Order: sequence, then structure tokens, then C-alpha cells
Amino acid sequence: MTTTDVLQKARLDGRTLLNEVESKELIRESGIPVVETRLARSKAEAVRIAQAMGLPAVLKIDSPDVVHKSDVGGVKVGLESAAQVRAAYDSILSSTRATVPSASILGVSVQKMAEPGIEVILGATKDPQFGHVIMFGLGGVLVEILRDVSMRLVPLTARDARVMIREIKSLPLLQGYRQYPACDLGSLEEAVLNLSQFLEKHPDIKELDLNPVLCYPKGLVAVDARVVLEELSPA
Amino acid sequence: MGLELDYIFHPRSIAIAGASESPEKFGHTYFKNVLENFSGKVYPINVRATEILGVPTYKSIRDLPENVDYVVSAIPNRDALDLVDACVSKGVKTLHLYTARFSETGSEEGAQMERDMLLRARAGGMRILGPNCMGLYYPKEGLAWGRDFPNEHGNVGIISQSGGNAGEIISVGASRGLRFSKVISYGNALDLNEADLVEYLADDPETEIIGGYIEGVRDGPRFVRALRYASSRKPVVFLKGGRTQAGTNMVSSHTGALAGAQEVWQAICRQMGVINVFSMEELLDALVALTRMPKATGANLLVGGGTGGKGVMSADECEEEGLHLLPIPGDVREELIEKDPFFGAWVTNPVDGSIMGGSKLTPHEVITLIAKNANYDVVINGISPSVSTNGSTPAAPTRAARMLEHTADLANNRDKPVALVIGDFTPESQRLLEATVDLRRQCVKDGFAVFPTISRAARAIKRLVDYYRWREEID
Repeated sequence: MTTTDVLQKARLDGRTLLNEVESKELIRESGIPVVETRLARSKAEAVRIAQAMGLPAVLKIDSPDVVHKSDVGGVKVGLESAAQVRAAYDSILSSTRATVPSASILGVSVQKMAEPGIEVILGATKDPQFGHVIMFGLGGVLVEILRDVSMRLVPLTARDARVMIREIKSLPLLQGYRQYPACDLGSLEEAVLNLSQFLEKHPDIKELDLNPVLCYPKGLVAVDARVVLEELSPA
Repeated sequence: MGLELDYIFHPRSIAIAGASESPEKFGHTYFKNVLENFSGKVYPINVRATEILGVPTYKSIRDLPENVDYVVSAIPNRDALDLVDACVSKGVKTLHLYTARFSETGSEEGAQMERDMLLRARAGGMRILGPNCMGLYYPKEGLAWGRDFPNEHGNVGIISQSGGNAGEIISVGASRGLRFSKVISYGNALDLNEADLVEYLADDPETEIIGGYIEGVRDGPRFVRALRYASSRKPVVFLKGGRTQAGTNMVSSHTGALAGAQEVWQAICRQMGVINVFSMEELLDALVALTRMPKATGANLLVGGGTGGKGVMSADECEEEGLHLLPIPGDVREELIEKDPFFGAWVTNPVDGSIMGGSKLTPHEVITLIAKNANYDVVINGISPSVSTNGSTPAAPTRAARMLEHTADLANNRDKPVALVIGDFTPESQRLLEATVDLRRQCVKDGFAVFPTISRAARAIKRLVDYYRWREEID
């Protein structure tokens, strides 16, 4: 699917929320590295995709009704074998059905598990008065509690990207702390600038989360993505 | 780019629609002010009275013997649309609508009246300021809505969505030594909006510092560009009201949940080099620092005048604001010891004046000596009047004068910013109260930046330092 396909399909379905696979497909256009992810609609398909991409695998629930996937037991990581993938598939479906009985389930997304790295969030939102704003911060599930984030209005300059990344309190963690190696801040700056350009091309994106983005001593990769489009105004 | 609006501030003639005989009314005050101070022709418009303050009135703008440039409207809103037509027919260039109760009431009827007025004004080539605002305070041309506003002009330009806040900035600011180039209360921003006005002040040679109070904005992207344009030319300080307004939008992402209106505004200020303040006190403090202190980019601070525990607390406060209380450097220490071996060895930063009893040096001599050292970037000096315990005259005006002289030395002989701190509590003792007020007035008159507490001075200085650092970085 191309970017245009993703957007057209969502609009034809009357959806504003893109699923993980669609979101990643869209983000790929920005140049930000994204873990390849495909949707499995059956257990057998999940195993096939996992083996084709290479183990260990990560499986996640794909449902428009689940915002926080790990809250419903909808994420299984470190799956080393076909048997583990099968078991994870069953577990994700039954746990999601048990927690959110009304959830419409599209399937399970399958991706190769990324190397561990420092988790950051890269996001965007459209402010009703000022337009797109990019957010950067320490990522993971605690992001809303720690609130260690910085923001800038689109379009960003290279200086904006440089300064916003160095503005968060957790910066020392990104610069190498105890057993954690230093992250590639240059690739983060590049990702922020890519996101800024991408948003200028897509004025109808309302919200966007890349969380987590895993940062390495060289490079980074987004392992989860969520994109919400603006409601189409009645013509 | 903004100076095309300059004509608004230089009308050749003014008419006050709804000029009033009642001294407490806006239509009276504005008329009286321009009558006394504006050099051009002034026409009062009133349907009933035949003359106001001895000036014959006209029943309508349409009856005026000549075209007018600027009209101030204090008439009821039901007649506003007709007034717009009348003004257009008389070649009016700017209509200031003090008249209110339009879109701000939340009624569709009010919003519709605004749209109609705007349409007719645009068609007639006339600009509208307001509605629902106090309009222009431009002392240089004698335009003012307050009776107590200073007649002298200065270098601070203000835009304010709220007329009340604009008045407070002028009156309280005046008491702290601020003088204004132009203050524009623009209310509902139907036509002239925040972006127009910031663009104008950015290019206005009479304005060296821009301050503002906003709640919402009419044109966000243009306003942001105007802020960036302005702040790269002169300091820009903004206070945004309505911070606690709950977001009404549904969000389904972490970013959406974290990027509320206030967080976004804060990010914009950082990005565009705007000094973001959170209260009227902070707004005035920042303006006082920016107008009355030289440019500074270093954060090494010397504090004097705090005694004992107060000094310790003030040190904490200054560090918390991001300024650094640099310990007394070795060569300065040597010089101090040379002058007084005992106290010279004891003195620290902050300088505790209360330990200096019996010393050959006065606290202010010590401060002056240390402040000369190039490692110190800024000085905060607390001073207070001293009143003798027995006599009926404030004791030692000489002592206060001497203190001031020393501080003046500090300020004049160095390019260093010096802030004075004079407590603003109201003492029981009438003599102490008068002495404090006199001292503050004298210091303000002498051109000092005066603050009521050390921490407020420190915060204002930090903002000044941050701004000029930003300027250095982008230039």
C-alpha cells in the first residue's frame, strides 16, 4: 500500500484512526526508520509472517477500540518460536475479548522484535489556533506521568530540533548513563526535522504518536505508531 | 512591513461619537483628554446636549463640517452599524469602538453585527479598532483614555486584548518608571488584530520594548510570524490569560494529551524568543528590567542588602531562578582584607550588611568594591530607609542619600545591570511609610529598576539575560 492508498482507504471507510500497520506505512514516507509490520488475520498467517521476518517476534492486537494495547494484554514480545507465536496469538485475542468485549478486532500485527534501546516518544498534534506542534520526550508507557517532553511549532529549523532534544530533563540518559550507551542525537534531530516536513505535507493529520522510538548509539527505529486524521468538515 | 498602519496614530482630526457630559463616563474622559492634549480639531457628537465642556456638539457624524480621520465611539451597540455607514461617508480612516456587547457575549446576533460592521468598513476602506476596547493611549499625540496616565511618552509599546489590564499596565507601570510609546487596547480584534499590532510595533521606531496581554488569537500562524519578526528586533514580553481553560477536544494520543493550549504557547514563546510571563507582576517586572537595565548575557550575580536569614533565603531564591551567586574572587578578597582585615575576611556573597557594625567599611562600600569585579554580571542591592528611633524627622536622609549615591556609582560607572530592592509592605509607622515611599520614588526617578523582593528582581533579570542570550545565538 502506498501513502495515498492508506489515506484513501481510511477516508473511504469513514475512519479517522489509522491502525498500526497503516500508521507505519504512512510514517515510512517521512524517512523516519520504522519496524516493518504486517497484519495477520489468522494464527497460521501470524506464524508465516513471523518466520519470514525473522524471530524473535512481537505480536500486538489491532483494534480501533483499543488505545493502550498493553493495558488489555494485547502485546507479546520476545517470541522465539512458531509455538510461542501461536500461543501469543491466542492469548492476545482471548485477553482482549475478555477486557473489551465490544472491541472489533481486525487481527494481530506481527513484527520482528527490535534490539533494545532508549525509549523516546516523537509525536505531533494540531493546535486549533497555531497548527502542528511536534513533541519529543522520554517515551514508553509512563510518558503521561513523567511529562518530560519538549515541544516546537512546525516548521522547525535545525536549531529548533537541536535545542528541543536537549531541553528534556532526561537528557543525561540519552547522553550515556551508567550501563546505557549514548544515543545518536544526530539521528534524533534528523527524525524531528523529517517529521516537521512530513506534517507540512499532511495538513489533515490531527494527532500522531511514535512511541516508543528506540534510540541506539547509531540510528533509531520507531516500533509503534498511531496516526489520527482530522474529521472531514462537511462539504 | 507593519508601518503602513502608522496613519492610525496620527489623525488630523477626531470625533467622539457619544461624547458625554457625565465626568465618570468613557465618552467624557476620552473627549476631555483629547480636548486638552490633542493638537488637531476635536468634535463631540451627542444627540441631546448642545455643548460639552464648552464645545458645541453635532447630532451626527454626518453633520460635521469636514471629513474626520479618527472616530471614537461610545454609543450603544444598536446604533453601531449606522455609525459605521456614517463614518465611511465622512472619509473616516479609523473607527475605535469602545461600544461593546457584540461577539463577546456569545450571542449569534452580536457576532452577526460584527460581521456586518466589518463588511461595510472594509468596503469603505476604514479600519476598526475593537469593538469592546479602550483604544489608543498615544501620549505623544495626546490620545488617552485614562485621566491619570502620564503625559510624557517613553519606549514601551503595549498591545492588550483587555482594556482593564492595559490600564493597569500604564498606571502601575508609570509608578515604576515605565513610559509608553503606544498602548493599544484592541478588544474583540474584529479587524485590527494581534498580528497587525505586533507587526506594527516591531517596526515602530518609537517602540523599543514590546509587551502584551492576550487570551485568544485571531490569526495564529501570522501572529507567530509577527512575534518572531519582532523578537529578533526588540525584546517582546507576553502574558497569556486563560491558561486553566480545560481543553475541550477529545484526544486519543499521548501527544494530544500532553500538548494543551498552555504547553503549546510556552513552546511557541521559547521557539520565537518571546519572554513568557505568568502574571501582571511578572509582566511589569520584566518591562522594568528591560527598560531600566543595560543588556546582559551573564548570570553571575552579586547580592547586597540582605541580612542574616534573609540573605540566605535570597541566595536560594536567586539560584532557583537560574542566576549564580558567584563566591567572592581571590583578588577581591585580598583588596577587602587590605581595607579591613577582620570584616574583609568574613564577608560573603550575598553581602550581609548586618555584620559590618564597627567596620571601617560601610555595606555599600563593600558592595561597590565587589561589584567592580568583571566576573559579576548583575547586581541586586536591597536598600531601606532608616528612621531614627527617637527623633521626629526621618533620620538620616543623608544616609539614604549616601546609599543611593553608592548605588548610582555602581550603575553609572559600570555597564552592569543593577536592581534595587525596596520592600513594598505598608508599615504601621507613618514616618517609615513616608520614608519608604520617598526612597522608592527617588530611586525610580533616578532611573533605577526597583523591585519589591529579591526573588522578583532575580526572575526579571534571568528573563533579560535569557532574551539577550537568545539574540546572540540567532544573530
